[in-house]
Amino acid sequence: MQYRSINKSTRASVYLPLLLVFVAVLLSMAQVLMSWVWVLSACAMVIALLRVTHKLPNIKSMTLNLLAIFCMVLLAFLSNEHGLMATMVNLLVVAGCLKLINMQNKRDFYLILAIQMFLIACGLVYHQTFAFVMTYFLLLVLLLISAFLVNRGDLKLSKSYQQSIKIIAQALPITVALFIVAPRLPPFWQTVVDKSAQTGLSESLTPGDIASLAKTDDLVFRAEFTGAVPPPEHRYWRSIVLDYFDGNTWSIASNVLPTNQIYSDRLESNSNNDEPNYHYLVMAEPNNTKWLFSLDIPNIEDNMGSDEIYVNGQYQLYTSAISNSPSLYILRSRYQAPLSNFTPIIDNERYLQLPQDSNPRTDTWVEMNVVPKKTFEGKLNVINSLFDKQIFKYTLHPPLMRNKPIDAFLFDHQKGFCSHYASALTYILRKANIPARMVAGYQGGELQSDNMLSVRQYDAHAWVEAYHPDKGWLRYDPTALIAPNRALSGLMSSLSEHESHYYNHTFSSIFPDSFLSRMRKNLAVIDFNWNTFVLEFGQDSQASLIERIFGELNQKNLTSFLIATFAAIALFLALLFVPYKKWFSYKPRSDLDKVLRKLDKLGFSRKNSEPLYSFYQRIESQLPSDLKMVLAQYISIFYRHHYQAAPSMNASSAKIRKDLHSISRKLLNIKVKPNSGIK
Amino acid sequence: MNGIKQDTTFSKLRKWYLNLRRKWLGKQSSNKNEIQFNINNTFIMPSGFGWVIIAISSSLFILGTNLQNNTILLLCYFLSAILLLCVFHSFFYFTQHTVLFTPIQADYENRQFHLPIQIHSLYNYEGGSLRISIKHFKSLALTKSNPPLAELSANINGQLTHLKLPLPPQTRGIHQCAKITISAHYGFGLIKCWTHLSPKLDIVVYPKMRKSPLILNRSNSEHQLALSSDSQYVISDNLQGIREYQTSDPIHHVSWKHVAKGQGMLTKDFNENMSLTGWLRLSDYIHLGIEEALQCLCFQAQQLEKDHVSFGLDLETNTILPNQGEKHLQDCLHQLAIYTPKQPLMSDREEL
Repeated sequence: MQYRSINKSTRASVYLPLLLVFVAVLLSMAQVLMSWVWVLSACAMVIALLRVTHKLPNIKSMTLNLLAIFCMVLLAFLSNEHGLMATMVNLLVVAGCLKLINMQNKRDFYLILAIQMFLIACGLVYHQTFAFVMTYFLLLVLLLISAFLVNRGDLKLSKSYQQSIKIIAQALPITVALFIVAPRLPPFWQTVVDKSAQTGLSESLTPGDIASLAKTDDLVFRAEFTGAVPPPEHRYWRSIVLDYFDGNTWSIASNVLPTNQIYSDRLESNSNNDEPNYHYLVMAEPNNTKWLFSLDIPNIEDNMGSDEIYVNGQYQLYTSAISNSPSLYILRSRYQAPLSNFTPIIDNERYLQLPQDSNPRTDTWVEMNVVPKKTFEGKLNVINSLFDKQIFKYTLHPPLMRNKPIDAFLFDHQKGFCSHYASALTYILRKANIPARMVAGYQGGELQSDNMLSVRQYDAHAWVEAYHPDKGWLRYDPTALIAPNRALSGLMSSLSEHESHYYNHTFSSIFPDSFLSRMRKNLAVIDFNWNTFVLEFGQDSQASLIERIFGELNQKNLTSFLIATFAAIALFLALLFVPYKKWFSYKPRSDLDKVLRKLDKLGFSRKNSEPLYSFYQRIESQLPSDLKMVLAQYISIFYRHHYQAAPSMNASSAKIRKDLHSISRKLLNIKVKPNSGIK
Repeated sequence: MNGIKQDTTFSKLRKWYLNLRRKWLGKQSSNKNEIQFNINNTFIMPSGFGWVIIAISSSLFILGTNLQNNTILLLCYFLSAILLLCVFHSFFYFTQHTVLFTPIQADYENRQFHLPIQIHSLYNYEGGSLRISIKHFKSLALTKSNPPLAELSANINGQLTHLKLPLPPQTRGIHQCAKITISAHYGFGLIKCWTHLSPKLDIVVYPKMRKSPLILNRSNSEHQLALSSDSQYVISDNLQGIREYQTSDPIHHVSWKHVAKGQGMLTKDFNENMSLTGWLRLSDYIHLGIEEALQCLCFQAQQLEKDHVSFGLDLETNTILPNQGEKHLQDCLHQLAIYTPKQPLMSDREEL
């Protein structure tokens, strides 16, 4: 292959965007990259930066190849831990880094460009929110511009930017058209996205998990209400019910599903629209569980997502498989109805399960204080008194409680966050022979507009449900006893001042009416539309679009839809490229034009802006004599007409014009063999 | 890839293919010296990077469909749209150029030859660059010993660009100008446009100069001219020529020999500055070998011209009468360049 280097003046303007894009893409996929890949990319980046300014010797390809082999072996070795997708991303990054270290010519440059484009595509696997997609698009534009700069020749930088952006802008309508019309196919084969891809509630909970969640403000779901929006104290979004405790970790008991199917039917028949209810649409981002979100007691009215959604006996919403696409469903929640689903034979055992002697101090306390009380209310009063606001503290940075966590929490540290409180309360309730379970989900949500709530990862919460023999399952939120603000105004207000500075986000709950919060609301609306119109665009949307345009969905309309779109693209291209200006800007030629054209045909072409007379002088000697004479006559009259006609000579100028015309006629009528004039 | 394997079916097929390809390309490529690029003479294909982008687009389509991820599909369509637009932009960029080849300056064998090229460009697209190179068709003998590519990257700036394409080293003789390939990667480097051109220009290559002792003959041994018998006398007296007698001429300059033959009164014209006149003969140097002999003659002709000596050239097949001046030198060098031996030469010719 020939060595074609990138010239020096272009180098900085080409390399720097490349590096910038590389850094940005890597940062966006930080959670996927292995630590040694980070180190490698940092080194590559430094070397590439030095290359822009200094002249570095090329690294021997032998060394580089060995490094590459080493990296591949390491990747292959670690691939089991990280999953296929993550390994592929890491592989791409490594390849990009190695090429970056030894970038010498255009070919290397194009290769890095291609790798980065693929990395951007990988980024889109992990992030699909509007902001992320726009950022990726900008990065892609940057890449394309630098590709343009490599081939710009002597064109000025500013002009190159203009031209490349022009082409990119022209590509956008075509992209949209293709996006709308291209057939949507079902997946060719099932792919599994690794667990590490997104944070979210997990199906097991060891107190400590949720503290890490509190730090991210990723969107979990949005709910758009058609009627009243529930007050903050009602916004308990149930997601996962945890009913098995092994002494440290709460998880889902393995035998949940059988009873659910039975229940699900009963729930349908019970539903009654007259009861007070919330009616809302939930748009959930893809998470890595099959669990979805709802207020109690949910009843699915419509499901626009691709996967079937079910309700189980624990009032949970779930899909049959983990889905990578966002979910979209409409619910009606009867918030006053009792949660009465309890089958004593099975459920007594399930909701009273506890490991033997796991937390002796708590056991003793319960035996002494709670068990003697006979009534449900009596027991709860005693328990409530335990969670004394003066003793317990709400914090996101509790000490580690690895051994006998309930004992340590209740009697030693008395510091923790929702899962500590919920875990302890559920334990005590079960010990006191009250069926209880822990519910993980989200609590709160931020009002984005009049009727839209958006719930983010930092709203993650855990609470407790205890079974009352008459009233059914009752919700208890021990965290609310200690930090009432947590439930009413969200996480931020429940943290002490000392702690809230850990979170340097600008939360709209802190600055309710600021410009920022309005901005954020607008962004949320954009995001919502992005979700409904772009991310959710599928076969159904295509079908409804065709129905709206043609009235009916059938094979014929589908074909004409396709043809119409391609015709539109072709028309667009024609508008861009057909020299229609030249075609349509016909104006009757002046006599001079005709004369010049005739001369041009004979092989005498006037140069740009050459004065007519000097043109004549130049070609005079080569002209056939008859033509020469008439042309000389014509030019002299022409000059008289154009440069000497003073206003006072108006009468004669008309005559001159007539002369000019007749002489040009004469000139045009002279027959000359095309070659006779040319030497 | 050598002569022994030429009989295999594969090599036959390859030979056939190369032949066909050469014929086709020969038909496609224009051989006028002023060429406007248009749809008939322009090839357009994705470049290497373009193929990579096509591959990426298709794998993105599979990935996007599999993950049911619309953003990835969007990216795929965006790249396709860019590719589609680039096809048109590249084509219109390329076809706005007109190329004019002007004659190649003749020169000596060991010098660098240049093909002067003028590129006109309309102002539809500014900037960009054209890559101009010499196309070496793989020879039918299936050799891999192609000389290195002569190439040039021309940044187009303004309406008219003047370029000189260095040509590969040439041997003595008169050659057809090699096929020229002009290509462009306009835009994002996704699409390559190119055309093959055969300029109808000859390259005249003079023999290179070889230093040698001067052998200047008084007469052309084979073709005796009327004047040659006087040569001894003429050289000593710096005879320049013979012209009509005029009354002002001194009477002792009259060539009485001509008068005696009845050719009228002629005056011998003498020149004080002129020192020597004579013939350069190929046969004097032929013992060195033909090429070497021509190289010696080339050197001698240069030297004689520098010293303002009038000389003639005798090349067995062709002779040039003694004369001097730049035009004369060019004529002689041209003869030396195109010389081909008529018959096997006798190298045992005696030196004078």
